[in-house]
Amino acid sequence: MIALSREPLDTDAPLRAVEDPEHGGVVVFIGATRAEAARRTVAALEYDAHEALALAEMARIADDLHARYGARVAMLHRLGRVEPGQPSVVVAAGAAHRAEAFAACRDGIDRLKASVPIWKCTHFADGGREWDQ
Amino acid sequence: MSAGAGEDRTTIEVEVLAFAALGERLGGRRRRVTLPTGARAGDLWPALGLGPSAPAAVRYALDVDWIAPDHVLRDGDTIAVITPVSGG
Repeated sequence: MIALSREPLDTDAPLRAVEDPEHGGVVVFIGATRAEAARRTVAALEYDAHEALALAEMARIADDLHARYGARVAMLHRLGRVEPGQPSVVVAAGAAHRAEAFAACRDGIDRLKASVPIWKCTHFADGGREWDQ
Repeated sequence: MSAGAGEDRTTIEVEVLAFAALGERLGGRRRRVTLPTGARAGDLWPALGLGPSAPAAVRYALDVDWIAPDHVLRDGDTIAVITPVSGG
C-alpha cells in the first residue's frame, strides 16, 4: 500500500497491508501534527504534493527497503489541511524479525521525509502562514 | 548540441510543474516555457525568472523519474522543479 489521502488517515490500513504469517515483526510509525512550531501556536498544517511523483518515489523507497531488509513496507501520507494532533503520515514495515522491521520502518520515514515531493505549510493561530523548506 | 536529422527548430517548449512555495512564487502550478534547443533542466530556473542559477538542493523530474540538472530537455517534456521537501 502506497497512498496519499485528503481524508483523515486510517492508521490501521498500512498495518493491515503488511500483515503476513511470515512476518515475525511489524513496526508502525505514525507522525502527527504538533500544536506548536517555532514557539508559535499552530492552527493547522497544509500539505501539498506532486502526487504522481510522490507515489512513484514512495514505491521506489518501499521496493528498495524490500531488497535491503526483506521487509514489506506500506506508506500513507495526508494531503490538504490537517488539524493539530491528527496523523499526517503512517509507515508500516513487516519483516521476518524485529531488527529488520524496525530498520525498514525507520529508513522508510527518514527517506520519505528526505526525498518524497510533499511540502508542509504551517498556518499559525495568529494568522500567518509559512512553507517549510 | 546538434539537432537530429530533419530538425531545424531553434527552440523547444516544455511544461514546468511547480508546487508549494515555488508554485505560489510563480503564480501557478503549471507554466509553459520556451527554451533554446539543447537547453538543460538546470536552465529552467533562470528561464522562470527565479535567479541566475538554482540552489544546489533543487531537483528535477521528467514525469515521475528524477533527472540531473544537466539532462537535455526535449520539446514537449513535462518537468517538475522540486524545491527541498518537508513532508512527514
